[in-house]
Amino acid sequence: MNNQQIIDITNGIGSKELVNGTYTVSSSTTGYDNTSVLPAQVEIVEGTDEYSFTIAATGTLTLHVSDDGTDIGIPIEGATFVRCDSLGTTYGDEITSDSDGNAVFNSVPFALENAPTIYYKQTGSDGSHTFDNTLKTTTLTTDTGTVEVLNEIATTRNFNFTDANYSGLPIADGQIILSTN
Amino acid sequence: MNIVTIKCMIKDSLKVYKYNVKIYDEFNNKIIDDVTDGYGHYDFNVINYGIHKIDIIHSRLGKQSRVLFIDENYNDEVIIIFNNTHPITIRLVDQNYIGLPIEKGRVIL
Repeated sequence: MNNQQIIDITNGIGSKELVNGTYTVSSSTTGYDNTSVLPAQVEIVEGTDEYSFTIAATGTLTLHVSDDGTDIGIPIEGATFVRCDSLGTTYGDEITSDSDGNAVFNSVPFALENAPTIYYKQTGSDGSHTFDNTLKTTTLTTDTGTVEVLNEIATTRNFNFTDANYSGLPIADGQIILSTN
Repeated sequence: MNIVTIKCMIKDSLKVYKYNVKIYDEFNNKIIDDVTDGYGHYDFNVINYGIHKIDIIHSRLGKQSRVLFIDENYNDEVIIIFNNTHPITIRLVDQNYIGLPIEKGRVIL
């Protein structure tokens, strides 16, 4: 008789009828390092019906941000991204593109077949480029991968700065500072 | 000829079930492949004395085994008690992105 109890997980949750006792924990989760599951042992006890586990991945996803969405476009520094779930809820720290336009998500899942979907969205750019803030998806079939991200140059806007008390009198030298909310 | 009574039950439960009964002789020959009554009771007519292995299987709670030496003086009941189960919820999330649910996975206990 097989003494293993298999609990299939969908969107982070699974359930099973279990006898109280101490169990060794293992995992078979595509795209993740199955040796990383924690805790390694769990005691199922009367009165406690929910148990949480974590698992790690080892892939690296690079988002290369440029003004034309190609690997030869002008790189954009300061674009920010965050990992999400399928509903767009965000998790973890934001990442930011460097002077080469690269923003890196470490510890992402990958698999040659049936690779898990990686969800993310862009949360900001450098202030002079537009960006798409909708939920994006990708998969990694090897341990590293790059996605090209387009952030087009923003439309040029003209600003007039005049004296409030002398209608039309231009301010010779000054600055207007606009901050995003 | 002895009759050995097997009684199966679930700890801390008044519910009664049928259980599969498999009995093997000392040569590992299966001599009984049967089912208890609805109360978990089974009377085993011992034909040959000696070592016997009794496997009791519940469809949900698994298997328990006993190894007995049965001779003409054996008149004990064999009591098999299964621990009951209760429903548990397992959560599996990413270790490096706190709270990020694993979309499809498997935990093995």
